[in-house]
Amino acid sequence: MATPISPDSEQPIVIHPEIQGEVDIDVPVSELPLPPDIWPSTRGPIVTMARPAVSPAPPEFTATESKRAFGLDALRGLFLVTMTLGFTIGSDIFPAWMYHRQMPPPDYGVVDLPGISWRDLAYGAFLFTMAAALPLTLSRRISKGETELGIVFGAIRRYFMLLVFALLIGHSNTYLTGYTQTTRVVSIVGFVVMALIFTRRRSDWNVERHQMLNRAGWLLAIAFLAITPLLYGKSFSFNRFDDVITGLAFASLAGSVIWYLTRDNLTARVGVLGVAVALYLGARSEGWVQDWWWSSPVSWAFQPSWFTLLTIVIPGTIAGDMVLRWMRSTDSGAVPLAWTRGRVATVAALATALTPIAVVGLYNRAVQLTTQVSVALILAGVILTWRPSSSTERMLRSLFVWGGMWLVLGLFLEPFENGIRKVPDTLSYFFTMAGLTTMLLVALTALVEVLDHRKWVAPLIDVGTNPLLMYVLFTILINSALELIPPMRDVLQASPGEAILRSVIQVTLVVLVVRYFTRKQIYWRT
Amino acid sequence: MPAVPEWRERVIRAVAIVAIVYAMYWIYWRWTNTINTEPGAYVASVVLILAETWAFINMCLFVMLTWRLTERVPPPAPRGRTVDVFITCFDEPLEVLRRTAMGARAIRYPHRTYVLDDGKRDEVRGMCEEFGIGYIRRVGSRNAKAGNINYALSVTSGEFILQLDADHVPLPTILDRMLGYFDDPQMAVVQAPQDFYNVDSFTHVVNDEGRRLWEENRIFFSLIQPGRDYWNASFFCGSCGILRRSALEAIGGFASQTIIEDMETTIQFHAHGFKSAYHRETLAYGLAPGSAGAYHVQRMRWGQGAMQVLRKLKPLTMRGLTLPQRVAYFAGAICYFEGWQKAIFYLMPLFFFFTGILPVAGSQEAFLIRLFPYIILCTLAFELLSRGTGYLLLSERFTMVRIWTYMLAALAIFTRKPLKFNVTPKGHSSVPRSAYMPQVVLLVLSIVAPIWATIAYSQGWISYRTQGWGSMAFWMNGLWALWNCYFALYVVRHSLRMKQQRDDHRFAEQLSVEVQLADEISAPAIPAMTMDLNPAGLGFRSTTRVEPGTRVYIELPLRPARIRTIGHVRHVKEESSRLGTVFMHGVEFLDVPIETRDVIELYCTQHSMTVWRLKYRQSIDILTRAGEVMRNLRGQRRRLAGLPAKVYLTGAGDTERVEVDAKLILEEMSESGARFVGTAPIEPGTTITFDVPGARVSGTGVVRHVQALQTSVSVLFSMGVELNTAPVASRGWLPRFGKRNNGHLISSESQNGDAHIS
Repeated sequence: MATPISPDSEQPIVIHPEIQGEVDIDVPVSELPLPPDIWPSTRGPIVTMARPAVSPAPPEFTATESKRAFGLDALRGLFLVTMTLGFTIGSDIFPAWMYHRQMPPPDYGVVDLPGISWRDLAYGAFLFTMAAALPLTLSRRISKGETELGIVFGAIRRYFMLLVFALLIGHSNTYLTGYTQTTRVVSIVGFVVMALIFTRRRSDWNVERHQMLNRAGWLLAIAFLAITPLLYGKSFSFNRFDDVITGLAFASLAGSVIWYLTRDNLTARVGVLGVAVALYLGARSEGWVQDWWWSSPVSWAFQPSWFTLLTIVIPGTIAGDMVLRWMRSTDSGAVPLAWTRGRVATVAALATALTPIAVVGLYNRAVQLTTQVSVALILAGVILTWRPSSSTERMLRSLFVWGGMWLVLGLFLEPFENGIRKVPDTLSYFFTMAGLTTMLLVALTALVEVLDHRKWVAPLIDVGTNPLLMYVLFTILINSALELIPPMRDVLQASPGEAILRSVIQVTLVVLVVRYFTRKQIYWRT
Repeated sequence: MPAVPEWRERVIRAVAIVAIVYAMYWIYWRWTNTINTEPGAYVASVVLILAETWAFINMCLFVMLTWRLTERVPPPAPRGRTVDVFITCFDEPLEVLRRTAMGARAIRYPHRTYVLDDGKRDEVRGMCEEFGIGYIRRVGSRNAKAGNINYALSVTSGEFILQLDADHVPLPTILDRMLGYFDDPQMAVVQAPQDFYNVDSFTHVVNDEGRRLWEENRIFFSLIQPGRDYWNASFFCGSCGILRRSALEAIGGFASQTIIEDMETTIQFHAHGFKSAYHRETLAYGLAPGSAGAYHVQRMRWGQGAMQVLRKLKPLTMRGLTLPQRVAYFAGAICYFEGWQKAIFYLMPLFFFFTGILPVAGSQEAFLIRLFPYIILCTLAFELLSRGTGYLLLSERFTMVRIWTYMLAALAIFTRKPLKFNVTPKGHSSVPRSAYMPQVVLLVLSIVAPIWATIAYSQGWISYRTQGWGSMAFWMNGLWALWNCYFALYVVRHSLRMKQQRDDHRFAEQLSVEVQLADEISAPAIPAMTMDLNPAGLGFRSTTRVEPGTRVYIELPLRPARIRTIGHVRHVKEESSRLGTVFMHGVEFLDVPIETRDVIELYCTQHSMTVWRLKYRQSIDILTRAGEVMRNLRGQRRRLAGLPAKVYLTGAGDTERVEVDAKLILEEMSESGARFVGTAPIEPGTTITFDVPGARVSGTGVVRHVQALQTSVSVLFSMGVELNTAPVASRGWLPRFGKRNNGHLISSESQNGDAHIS
């Protein structure tokens, strides 16, 4: 069949082969066999496997970190309740000390008044407790073998989630969207959307269903942000956000990174604090720092002026380190305390007393007296906490000393910038808040861990372990739900007494709801 | 792709109609209400709406082409017909051609195989003599591939011609499955999908854990071609198609007016009243472009050829074609103008940031309230109509990849000069800078533009104020630029990463083997699993490290014969995973006899590739996907293991264990399940225990399902095992980065039925 092969490449070559293939095919092969099923009932590459029944949730800590910082949870809960109480005061017939110091009635506009009121404590304290929890969270992740990149990306992820949270609250809060029936319904829808996104799966919940709801929540969130503003005559805006949460987001990100990089070097962390203070001071005078400090094209996501928050975030992480060291210690609970219960109770009382003294004194501008009394109490506390022998005592002393130092720093800085202010915030405010919050942490830790009165603060602990839910409930849900029914808007608003009663009822309601969910192990998490 | 139920088809068509009606309204509204007539904005405004209108026209054509997909049942192949198999080649690597020639020779239906050698290489002729297949070499190379085939037609006589490109290895059943369509005397051409064995190519996206495979061409071969088939407008794609000789003679042979002779030839068939058919079953595997460079060469040829079709054949007015055929060919050709349309979309945010001019008039509320439903409906319609082949994000990525090539190709509409037929490079190839430089420029500009705009705004240079629009214009364009950045970044990274380093492809193959060190023959063999294989070497995974340079003996349990190979380890890579530390080795064979090479070659092409494909899904439509997400069948992440395992059947009392007499591989494992692949099945319901030597991975569970993976060469069994362990915490939607657990305890090992890794 073949023509001769020519060595000349310019000549065509054609070589014909023999017929190939199975020439004697008898069976029609148009229907060639497909892969058979070995057992017909089990066809298909994917089979739903029976899932085991409820399993215990994985432990929160490894063996060396088996304790939980209930004092910190209680502290967070305390300030959340304080915030709720302040937020639910709707009447304008109270005395000025019931409001933010720089936003007094009747206009609630920002005025140039030095001092702080009890309502000014919550913001700084909230940041502090968040920062104090960072060492605990991050160290747990490190112990699980998370990489450096993982830690950083985890912090960025949380930052992003908090920004989304802030935008959702901003577009749900009637304070920002207007007090109409439409916006109240939108608030409630916003709450549902947030619930879908931020509710952590309980260990016995169906994984698929939870994931489905979570993803549906994200899709709904996009639709919610895009469409619902049109219902009340606006459009989506990045400038409609909850500034407390955005500040918290930045503090979380910056705090995580700073703590991670300086976890073994306290001096470096204090150095970073010095840099933050320097930037703050630089921004007080004209120049490039000031120009930069107040400029941001994405103010909802980042503002250079937020670096001020480091003055409370870094003290928070330092307190968190002390709590972490205590949690990792092995002697707690096994070694009896050298201090008597009375001594610990006195320390707790001193630490607690500092807050009302500072607030009342600074509100009434008795700055010198407040400083003198505070320093005296701090010195007394330092003496009382002398020579700690167990890890719990060491933690209480360290916290007390550091708290005293921050408070003294804040009080000494008080005359600078013409007095302490929350709006606009001053260095004195942040350091004073760091001091007072640390002192309250001392008091609550002593109460829970040494004096063994956890039950006294159990509601606060429950609230403190579920902060996001608490925050959303009091910022957007309760008021919107109540005011949706017109008669409810004016109930218990006639006198200060009635307004307080109404506020207390609302706070109680919120706390009960949060407690219920916490007890049911249903948490909102980023 | 599995057939879509009729009720779903109705839903898909209903959504498509709603989307078209709404899109029509949107375009009407855009033209009548949103043209910005301010100086400087007018031109940009009209250009943007023109681009949107072009997108709308394409959408209508897409709906038409995908309205109904034809599912054909192949008639039995007629006996006694004569078939010639043509393999056209030019300069492809000999290994590639050899593989194809072997595959063609092994086709089951009686046939004659010819290699049509336009490269005029004596080594090709020698190979043909070795295999006993035909060889045709013409003088000159006029009309490139079309001329090559036409010359072969003149010296052969088969009634039918199976045309294969040099890289397309046919399965033995290819003629059996496709020849029956020619019972219809008007049938001129039957085309099968072009599928590819180099799944690490530039155009493939593989998800190993999810067992999903996507290839850029799938949208054409799994969707457009079956859709065209409904209108009798499917066309020959140059390879993997059978043509009737008498039909070719009726139209004067292979058409050669353009550089896409395949489409042109089919147009001529249709114009002469012949029919075409599309058979939706992979019957050959070829080589997809291995790098960005090869991809752009291929797409440039297709695009320029399409322009020639538009200019020379004028399909919309061509005599002999039916109306749907005219529209279908028109749609097939004009899709290459997509480059210009997309360029307008990509550049518009930059225009806004650099000039402050918004090319849209009216209020933002009115615009956005219409825009969002438009986007949602169009996206939904696209996802539904694509029936699982056209994932929006993946499609958009490749749209960005080819934008510059398509823009250049579309310019060919203006040229009358003959265009050069550039063969798509096979094997080792590099990445020219032009393959990604336009995207680099776009990326840089998209990053710089918002920064510039921020400065310009703060300095008061540009106000960025448009009547009816607040800051939303800034943010919308910012998001748009960010979207473009994402795709541009993907293109740059993907292009730079996807250099084909090997001259020849390695096939993924999992064989349980034992590696014997040649210099320590008395030492126990190392249990291992092959990762990939070809006649030049293999890769294997083991829990024991073998140093580079070590000579090793490996017996490969191939079918029909076991093969002993000797090679040396070229490189070792360590991989830490939850399952412990695993070493991946690359081995180069030494002194492989030609018979051994051929056995490996056939095994790889006819078994390894097919089995691998059986494990992966290529088309998952959005409704199925949504259902799976909601049910989340697996619940947990399965981590790839890829290690040989010892499996024991466990008695009722858990006291007696019998080792399973089969080679089994632990493919993947989570805390609640595992998958094994082996040469023998285990009956569902059987309780087994297993361990992986060296890795200390072990567990107990119950076999839940078995699936046979059968090819013409061998059969394997895939078994899913349920382990009785606690489910891990749910993974959030957002990724958690960098989790690492270097072989630590995953779960308690104290209870029976737990999987544990210590």
